[in-house]
Amino acid sequence: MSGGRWLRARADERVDRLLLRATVEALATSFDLARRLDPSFRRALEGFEATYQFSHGATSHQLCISPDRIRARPGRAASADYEVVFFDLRAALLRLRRDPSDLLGLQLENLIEETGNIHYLFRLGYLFGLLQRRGLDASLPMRRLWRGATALLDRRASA
Amino acid sequence: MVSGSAARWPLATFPRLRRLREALLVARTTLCVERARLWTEHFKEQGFDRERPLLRQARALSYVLDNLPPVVFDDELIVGSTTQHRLGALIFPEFMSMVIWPELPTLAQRAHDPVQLDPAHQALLGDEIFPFWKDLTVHEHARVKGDNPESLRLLERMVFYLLAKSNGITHIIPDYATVVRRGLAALSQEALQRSVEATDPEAAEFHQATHLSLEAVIRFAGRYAAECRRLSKQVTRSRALELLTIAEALERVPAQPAKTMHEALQSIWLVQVALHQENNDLALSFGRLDQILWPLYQADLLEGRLDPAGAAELLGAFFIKMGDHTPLVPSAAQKIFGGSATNQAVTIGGLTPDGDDGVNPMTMLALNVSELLALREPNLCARLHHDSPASYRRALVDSIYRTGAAPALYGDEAVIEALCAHGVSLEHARDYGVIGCVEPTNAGRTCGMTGAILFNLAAVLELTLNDGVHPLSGLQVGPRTGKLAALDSAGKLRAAFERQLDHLVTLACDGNTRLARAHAELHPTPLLSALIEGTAESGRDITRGGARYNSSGVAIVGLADVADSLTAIEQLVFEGEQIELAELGAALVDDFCGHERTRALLRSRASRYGTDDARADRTTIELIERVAESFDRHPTPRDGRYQVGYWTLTMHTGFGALTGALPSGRRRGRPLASGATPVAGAATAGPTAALASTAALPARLMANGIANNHKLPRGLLAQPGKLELMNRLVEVFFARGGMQLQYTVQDRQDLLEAQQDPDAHRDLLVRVSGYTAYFCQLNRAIQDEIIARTEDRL
Repeated sequence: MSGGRWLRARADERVDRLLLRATVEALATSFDLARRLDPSFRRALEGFEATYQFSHGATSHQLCISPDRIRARPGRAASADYEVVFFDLRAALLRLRRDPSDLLGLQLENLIEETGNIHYLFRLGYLFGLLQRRGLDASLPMRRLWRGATALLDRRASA
Repeated sequence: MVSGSAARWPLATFPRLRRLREALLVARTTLCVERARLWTEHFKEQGFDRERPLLRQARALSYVLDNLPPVVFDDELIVGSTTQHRLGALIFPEFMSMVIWPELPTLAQRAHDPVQLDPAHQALLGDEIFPFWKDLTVHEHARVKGDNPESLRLLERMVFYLLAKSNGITHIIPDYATVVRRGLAALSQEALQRSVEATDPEAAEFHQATHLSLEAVIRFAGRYAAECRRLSKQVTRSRALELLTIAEALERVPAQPAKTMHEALQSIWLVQVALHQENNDLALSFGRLDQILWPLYQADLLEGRLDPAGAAELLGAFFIKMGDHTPLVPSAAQKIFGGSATNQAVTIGGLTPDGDDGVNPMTMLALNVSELLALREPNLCARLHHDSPASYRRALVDSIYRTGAAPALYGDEAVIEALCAHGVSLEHARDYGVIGCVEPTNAGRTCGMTGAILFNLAAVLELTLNDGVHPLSGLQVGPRTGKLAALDSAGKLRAAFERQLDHLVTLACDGNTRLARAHAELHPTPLLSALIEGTAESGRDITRGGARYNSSGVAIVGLADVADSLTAIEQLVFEGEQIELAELGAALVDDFCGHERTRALLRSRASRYGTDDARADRTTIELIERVAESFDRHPTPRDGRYQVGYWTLTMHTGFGALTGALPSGRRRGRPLASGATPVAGAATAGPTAALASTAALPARLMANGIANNHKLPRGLLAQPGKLELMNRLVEVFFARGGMQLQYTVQDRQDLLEAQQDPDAHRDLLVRVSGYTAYFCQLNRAIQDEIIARTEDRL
């Protein structure tokens, strides 16, 4: 690999790491906001405790959900209920931006690989669907994520 | 036996049917939670008894049937509603309905196929019902029990195969002949007696469970009768009389044998509704309705109770009821199942068990009623044999022309040969009915789960050409059989292909077995079992092999593409040396961009299936033989054999979208060929040659049926003599041993206009790959695929 291509590959990796972290953090912030603001979202969380792990390459972040708190944590979980591995993080994010609840579409297009009880995947999709219905997917953290992600991806594409 | 055409009526003759049809066509699909609510409520209150699964399921079904509100709509002559709505979608949280969970909040707003959902029902489903089933679905039970086995991990990738048993036991024909002739009370009493006499605890539990289930259906009918009586006090005198007649019928059937055609139809439909509460409402088919109904219709005619027009109205009301439910398809899966009805097939015509011609006046009535309604349900399947009356065959062709899509045609000689080759007795093979899309099965005696495995043959070829690596995902899925450069002879290529095929087949069968076992443990099905011959004698549920005949069905996707690809490589790379192997590999990676000459060679110089070319046909036949051999190595979960078929639902576009460029010249993401049909555009030698190629396929190895799609322009058939030419084509195809043939008769321009103005064409029917669909309800990709299909020229 030439020096230029090597540098570019490293830069891509950095972008992907950043994107993954931003995605999980934005998810956590938006979900937590919805939990505070939306009674239907709180009802959907009743009795629900789960740790999701999102990985891309060597990078992992967790989304920890409980009825009274939703947060993001860096690193691998000791025991995750559900793990999503992104094969193509950028394509997956762009697809999610088009339709955040279309998790089945991500599977069909081979953009992700998952491990665990698919109940957790679809329940996560439901929570996102609730965000969408309330317009909270356009909340500040999500807007920032999409804006930031789009800018990054556009920059990479034009480069 | 009486044959020939019966009277043809325009729809205007039957104002009631016109109103019922219109009500169905304009109805918006509503998601119905009642069944899921009651089912879940029962288990929350009673617990999930793992010790006695059969009784557990029977009690749950009884709870649902005892509490489901009866729904009777205006004008109906046959009552019983699958859901609480005119057009509803059921939810089965114990199976795979949770795939819709993410879409619940936005279901009503989605662009394609929106589904109405009450906000309170959305919360009930999302917050209470789905969470309860977290560890109790068939899929999760199998996954945990097998420690997340490779076969199920691969299933979740959805590229290589789909396994339908996660979604319940479907694709079956209950023994409706017995329901009509003997009634459920007799079966229930027998079950009770057997439960007392049984020495085997499982058999005793099974008989007790079937007894409970059958009694629940009888009570369910009683509740409908009471509802009809209640409503009769609130309506006009003429409608009140109708409702009282329906109530009287329901006070007799399905408990007792039906005495009239009306009672028979009411009995069958009410049992169908009850079965839909027990198992997923997919492809639960009716079998040979003309054979079941004719004795009662004949008696009605003789006694003066009914005339042909009255019978047509009754049958029409029954057919319209079949459309009262529709599958709930998540947005992403629209690529796979979009526009599909639940595919309740009705079979008419063909040989009787004794080998006589079975066409009777009810056959013709069913054909005429299907034609005047022109709805996607039922999926009407007409059987033909070498001695079928010519007038009957011509009536079928006329009906296809008028409806644009129905019925589909089946060749008895080929089907019977196929079933006999799989252990079905000749008498029973002659008594076959069609299930779902195109699958012939001995009616009422078989647990065949004909849609158990949908298998992507093109993925096998991709693994072969890439040393076992799946190019789209980069995963090492298959064994290392050598990179493309190393496959430098036809022998090496075929050996690699066969290893990859065997590997994927082994995984698909393993997954199917795991899901079947999970199903037997979690969701045995006592009501359906009570209506399948053999279970009473064996004392076993159909999920445990209790049926007279057991098999599992496989539908292969990509036959023509793979056959053409193998032929092209052999002819142009190994024999003609017109294309270097390295060049072929590069062309596939680049999706033929910059390799236009290579693509042109592949498409124009190689022999292709569908042109009556001996070389291409031989490759196709050898492929079918090899696929059958591979599946034959694996017993089914219930000790039967796998039955392989070549039909694709809309999976030829779904799998096609996930498949790279192929050596046939097909580009990345394009649809694969549908069913056993030649690749679109390949059948350049005309319809006779295309049909000759398909008729040459070995029927005995295609017992799960084929979908053989052809398209004819309506304008062409309107020309003098053209319908007779089509009739001759049909005759010759089946005389040469053809198994199945189905037509879409629409002009390309009409289809394009329907894309532009769907509201004006909402009842425009087409054949997809097996089933009949409203063109405008299909997703754009499958619409385009149908438009692009080769148009036969006569």
